[in-house]
Amino acid sequence: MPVDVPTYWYNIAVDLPRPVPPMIDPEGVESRIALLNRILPSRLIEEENTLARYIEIPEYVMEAYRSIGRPTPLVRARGLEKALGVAGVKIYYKAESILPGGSHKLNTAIAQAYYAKLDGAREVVTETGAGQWGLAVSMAAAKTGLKPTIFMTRSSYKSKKARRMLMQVLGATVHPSPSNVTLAGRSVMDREHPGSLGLAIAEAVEYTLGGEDRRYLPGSALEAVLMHQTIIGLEVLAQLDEEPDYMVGCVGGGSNFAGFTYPAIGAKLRGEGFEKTKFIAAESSASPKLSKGRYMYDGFEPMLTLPMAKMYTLGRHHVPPPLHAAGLRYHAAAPSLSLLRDLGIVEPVAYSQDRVIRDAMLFARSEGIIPAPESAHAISAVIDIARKARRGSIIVFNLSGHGLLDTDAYGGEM
Amino acid sequence: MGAYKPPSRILMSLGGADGEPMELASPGFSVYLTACWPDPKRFAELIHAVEPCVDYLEIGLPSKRPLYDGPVIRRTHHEVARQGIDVEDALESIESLGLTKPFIMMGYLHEHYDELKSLIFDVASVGALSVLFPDLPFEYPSLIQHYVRVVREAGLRPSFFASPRFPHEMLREYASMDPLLIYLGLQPATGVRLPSRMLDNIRIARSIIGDVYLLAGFSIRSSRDAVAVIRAGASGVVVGSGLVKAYLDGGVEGVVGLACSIREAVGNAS
Repeated sequence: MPVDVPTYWYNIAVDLPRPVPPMIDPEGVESRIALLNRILPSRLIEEENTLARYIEIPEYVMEAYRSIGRPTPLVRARGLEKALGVAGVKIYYKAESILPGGSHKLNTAIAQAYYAKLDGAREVVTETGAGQWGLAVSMAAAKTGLKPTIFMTRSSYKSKKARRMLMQVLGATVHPSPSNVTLAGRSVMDREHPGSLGLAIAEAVEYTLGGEDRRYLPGSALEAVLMHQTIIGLEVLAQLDEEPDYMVGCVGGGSNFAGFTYPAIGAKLRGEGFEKTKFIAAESSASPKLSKGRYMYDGFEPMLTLPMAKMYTLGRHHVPPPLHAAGLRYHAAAPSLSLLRDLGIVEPVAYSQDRVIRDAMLFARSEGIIPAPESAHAISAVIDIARKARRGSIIVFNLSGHGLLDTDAYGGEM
Repeated sequence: MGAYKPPSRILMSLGGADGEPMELASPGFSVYLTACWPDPKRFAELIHAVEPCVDYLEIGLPSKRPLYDGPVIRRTHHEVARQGIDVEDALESIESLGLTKPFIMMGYLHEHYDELKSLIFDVASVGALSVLFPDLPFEYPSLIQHYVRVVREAGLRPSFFASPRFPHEMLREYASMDPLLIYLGLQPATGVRLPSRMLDNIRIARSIIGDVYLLAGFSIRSSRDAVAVIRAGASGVVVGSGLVKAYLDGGVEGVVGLACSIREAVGNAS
């Protein structure tokens, strides 16, 4: 069904049964909350703290959304249904993979780069795992006339060379994290340390604070970032003919899952439908924050340069082994997603890398699309659900990215 | 401390001596002070000096971990704690002040979870109109009804806190419980000024809670801020960190100058 690009983002905070606990300052240090003024684009901070249910999307961002191919299609996965032998079960995927950066990440990168430009910034800084976020920021920065600087977890810096190179093509300076550029990076003595998203965030934030004309662009976890991604789920609501039984997404920090599901969860919370829908968060068993983490105040990164938030976390010093799905290595889930998990509205499942890559191959060979290893976690969950689902069930998942640049993940299977 | 008996001076100042619900001045101006800061003697001087400049007062119970406070108010808590002053000392000090203006108290429930009922009765016994726990909705939402019951048993009215990212349905529930006030924190922490849509947030909150008293705080530093907040729909404004800074910069005179100027502006705002 043809739909138009929504003109607003959705803020789930106002529809939750309980409030998202506020950010707090770590003990014994100057205010990290106040420090956000020097780190984040100011309009992003505004959007982080709003009582409005809907936020109008700026015209610049609307034009950019249309230019990159939004709305993305919702596709019936008939090939996968057939391969699974699940007659009577309908599987759909939201194809964020077709966006120019190969993932959903551009949805917020465009807005944040624009906001940084409004602040007079000349350089935007961020972290990246597999490189999807770094690539999206590099693209948005190029379009906006900003210089991108990216701290890429060292394991991915080595294994995801294509994305690193493409970021550089777009004008980015890419540092392997831990790096020698920052105190946070230099604090890690082991030069073969694989890095972590938390440490890369700490480096990016520290580097940002080193220059007045720099702004840090967060790729996930902050509520405003999740809100930008709701463009995905708002389109899905318009595209679906029937309410699904399951909505499934993978979770690193939570941005693609939240963006995909929050509009439907919000409708459910308001009593406007989706009563039967289950919301399944698929994570990596190497970083199972929603499955095995604790719900507590913790840092977004190990140095506590940013404020603390109440999240499901494995601890801010968590360093998982290198993964093909490097985007899922983050130690914590976004505060609103964590609250939804605590309330039992979102159900987590965790999958091992071996299982996920096998399922990704099945999807590739049945649908003709190579999924990103991160997105393939959602595919594993969909396969498990579909095999047990009753006839007539509808399953929708977010194909948050393609895997055309993840040759490291698939090479071992050939 | 015995069972609560509302001091007549408080009821008179609020016009509620005949059992009518006590209402706060609207538009109203309040200041926040941490009990016994900078020390009990200077606290008494400070609060008496500022009383003529306010419609009512907010007094914070000393806290070891004031979660949602910014650096300025955190410092006041830490300075009080370093003097070995605890909640009981603070309440005795407040009772001895003979305040002529109504006051409400604020505390962190995570430090009083085990003695919630006795604390509320103790607060009532020193003459407070209400006690507000900012962490109640976030950390102990299942205790909200219990809090309301105990507060009413103690002869007080409930007060509730909301953040600038708060469920609309909870605001409606707050409003339905006949509170003395709903305190809308305009920022994530006291005394911290981040870019915000605070005036829009006030308008939205007002549209949800109807006529309930809406107190706005967490980033008010000047008469201009206060007037804007009142004109957006707040019933009252409270200044805390700004007052502490005024004291540190200009002593009691600095505080009185700031408070009186804001109160005058607020009075002319509607």
